[in-house]
Amino acid sequence: MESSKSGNRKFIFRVTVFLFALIFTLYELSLLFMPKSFFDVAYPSASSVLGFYKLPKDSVDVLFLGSSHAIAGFDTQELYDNYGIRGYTLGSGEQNVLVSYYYLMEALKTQKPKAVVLDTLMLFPFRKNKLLYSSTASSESAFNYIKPGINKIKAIMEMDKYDDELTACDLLLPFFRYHERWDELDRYDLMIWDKYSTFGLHGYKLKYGNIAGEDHEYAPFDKNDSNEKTVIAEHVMGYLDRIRETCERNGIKLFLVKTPSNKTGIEEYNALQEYSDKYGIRYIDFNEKEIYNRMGFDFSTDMKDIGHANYLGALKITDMIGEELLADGIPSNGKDSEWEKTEEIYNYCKENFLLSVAEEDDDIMALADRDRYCVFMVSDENGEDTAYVKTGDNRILYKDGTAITGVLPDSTAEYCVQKDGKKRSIIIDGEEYAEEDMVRTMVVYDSVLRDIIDIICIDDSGEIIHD
Amino acid sequence: MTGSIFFYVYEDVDGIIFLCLMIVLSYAGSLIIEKMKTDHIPRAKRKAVFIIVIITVLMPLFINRLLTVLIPISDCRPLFISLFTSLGVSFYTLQMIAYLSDIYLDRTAACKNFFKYFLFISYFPQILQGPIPRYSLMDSLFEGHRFDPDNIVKGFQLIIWGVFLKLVIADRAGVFVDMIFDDPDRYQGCYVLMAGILYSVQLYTDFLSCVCIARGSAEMFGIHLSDNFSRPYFADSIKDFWRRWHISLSRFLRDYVYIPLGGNRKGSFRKYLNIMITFLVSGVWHGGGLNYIFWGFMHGFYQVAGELLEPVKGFVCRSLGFSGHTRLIRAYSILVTCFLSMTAWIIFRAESLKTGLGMIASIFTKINYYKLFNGSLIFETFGYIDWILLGISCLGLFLVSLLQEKGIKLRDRIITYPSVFRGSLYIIAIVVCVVFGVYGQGFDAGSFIYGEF
Repeated sequence: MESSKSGNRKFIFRVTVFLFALIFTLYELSLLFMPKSFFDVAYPSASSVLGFYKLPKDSVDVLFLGSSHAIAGFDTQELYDNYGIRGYTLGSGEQNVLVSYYYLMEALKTQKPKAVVLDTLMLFPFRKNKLLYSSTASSESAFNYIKPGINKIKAIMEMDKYDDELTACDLLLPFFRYHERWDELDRYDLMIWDKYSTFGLHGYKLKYGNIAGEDHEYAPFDKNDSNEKTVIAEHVMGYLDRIRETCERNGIKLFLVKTPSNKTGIEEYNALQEYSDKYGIRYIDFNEKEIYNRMGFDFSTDMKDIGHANYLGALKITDMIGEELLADGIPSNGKDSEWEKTEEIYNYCKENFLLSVAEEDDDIMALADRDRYCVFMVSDENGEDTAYVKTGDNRILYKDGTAITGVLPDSTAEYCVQKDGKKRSIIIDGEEYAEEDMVRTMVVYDSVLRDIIDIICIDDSGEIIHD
Repeated sequence: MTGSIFFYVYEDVDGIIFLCLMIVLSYAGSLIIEKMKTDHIPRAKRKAVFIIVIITVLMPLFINRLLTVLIPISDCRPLFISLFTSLGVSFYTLQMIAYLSDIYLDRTAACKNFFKYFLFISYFPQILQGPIPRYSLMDSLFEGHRFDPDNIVKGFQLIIWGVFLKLVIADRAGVFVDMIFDDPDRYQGCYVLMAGILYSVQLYTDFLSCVCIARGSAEMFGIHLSDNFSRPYFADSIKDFWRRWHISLSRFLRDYVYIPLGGNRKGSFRKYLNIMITFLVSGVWHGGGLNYIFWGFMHGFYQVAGELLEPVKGFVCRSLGFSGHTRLIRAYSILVTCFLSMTAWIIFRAESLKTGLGMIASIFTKINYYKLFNGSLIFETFGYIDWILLGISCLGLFLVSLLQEKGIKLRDRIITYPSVFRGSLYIIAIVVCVVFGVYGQGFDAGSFIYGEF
């Protein structure tokens, strides 16, 4: 009898060890299989979350929360450089208010921000068929890199109630969602276990290019235009209240902010102004005419697209936020090595931006002539077939139709460039970039930031088009 | 019993009332038959009551099949029909018939304890896809079950194997099969042949996986359910195939249809007629469509033809000098049996009998077999990697089956390995299933093919 009991105990011990080993294996596999939105993506949410966990304790003065509008709109490096305020954007694509709340809760585990700035885009219907207004995919990916814990479990359980397409199991073990990636795993995926650098700018994504020359309809609204207001849905209001109460409890100043965008208007403004007045919260809508004009915003040159500010736009938004924060008593700190070390990357991004908005051919060629850039070009200017590749110090130019092939300096992908009669081709990592009917196509790859930063085309009329 | 009720309610909340009603009716019927037996009521009266009880039990399944023919699924079907399509109705109906027949034929005594009987019918691991158990062989279900680590481990092994068969083989093969069967006008000849082969694999692994998971779950509690398969694609005749495929159904049909019809006791003609009737019953049991009935007819015909042609087969072998080459003959017989069963599965899977016949005909008339080698079978949704993965998995299944055929039980061997090695092996197996399995959003883990019958 005793030996049977002891045998059972041994068995239970073995089963426990086995279950731990299994869960550990599946967790590690989840890390391997999750898409690595580090470098070449519009919004590197993985970098933001993972970078946040690496911050020294109590090092963040201002926490920015919100969607891609917030990620592109709040320039944390500018805030540090000009105002001495250490900001971090915990943003994610279409970040709904539930995600914002739980991001805040997660942040408060290690940080004591003095202010929280919430972008208000997702408080109103963005995707009308979704209760929390964000796509299922963005809700799912928001929690990919959040560490396992009570916050994550609670968030997932609550999210499950608002989105029928979500399953809690998939969110807890993302591996089940991404298992089909086994045939596309690459070296980036293995980096999850390495001491990698994601070149993150504390949650900020500096956006290149602008919408000058593109058709867009935008006009800031006058706050006296109408008294109509949108009703904030009860469950959304519930999470907004929870964010406000959490901030109050922790002595954090809450700011509600809407970056310039054609997705918001006077009715949303009135609803949030009423909420802000009720609770004594500072609310800034950059789409309101007075504020828009005061900061000297130009929608054509300061926006990457109709929703996201580019570098110039982010500077203007951040300068105004910086002023507001200082005025509200958020102290300016001295130097902080964590924000100092991103200066170099930030400067690279600024250089990339300058290239992306250059309008003269000579300027483009001069700006593109940097060591870290790889330039791939095909052209038939002056009736000459030209294929050109510059990688580091190497420059290869063929005019006889020969294909130029090779591997990127960071060994991440192969390329093939060829211009032979009607055939024009710039293939990088299997993707074709050469545009038909263009006299010249030039692709610029930043080998430090590991991103294609610009595709510049010149058409028959000599017009320069940035993509 | 509570677990079984929870399982049933979770899977088919509407069907639980109907299941309970059927259990009560069959339970009452069993007591009446038993009482008449002990009261020495004349045999004719007993027989009449027995037939009434059997008809009562059989009625829902019969109505279900009739309605399937009369009102196609695509049409708007009245709500009451769902009453007759409760989960596992095909399986528990046969279970009840076998139980009532055994009581009538004095093979077993009626169960007086209603809850025991309820558990016997509704036992959750087997209600979805069988096996179809006999009451007299289910003693372990009602015994007190002591905690036994060996049972837990062996049950767990079976469950992992079942999950592998389902996710890695069946559902991957299903991607190709669905594509071809959904567009039979476009895909003909070699496409149908490959889809037929893969459907044979899919159906086998899908069904076997469910049985493995059912057996594994039961085994963890110390309840040993019978095996329902014995490497059916190693069969060297259709008769042998039915000894190996869905064994519990085959035995049911043999004991409660074929033998009561007279079996082989009334001459060759009656024997062949009985075989045909038995397989037609099997066809009707599988579904109400004409294709199911024809599928049953095909198997009956194959078996009768196989027996009639046995002397011819011997003569041909002798004439060609193959008499001594038993292995060669067996390999050839296995291939022919596989091909015959595959053609029947095409009818079984096709949208209609006409479509199925057309698809089989195209195998012989549409000569496009060069496409097997020119990449035509590579699709966006089913690429090289899928073929390779499926090939490796099927090879694994083949090797395991080969060992089983030789009487080697891998499960028993693995359990003797050191626990660290064993644990690692299980983790690798689980990882293989979850990485290479076909599942994800929209996937319904409960949608086993045989669960629909």
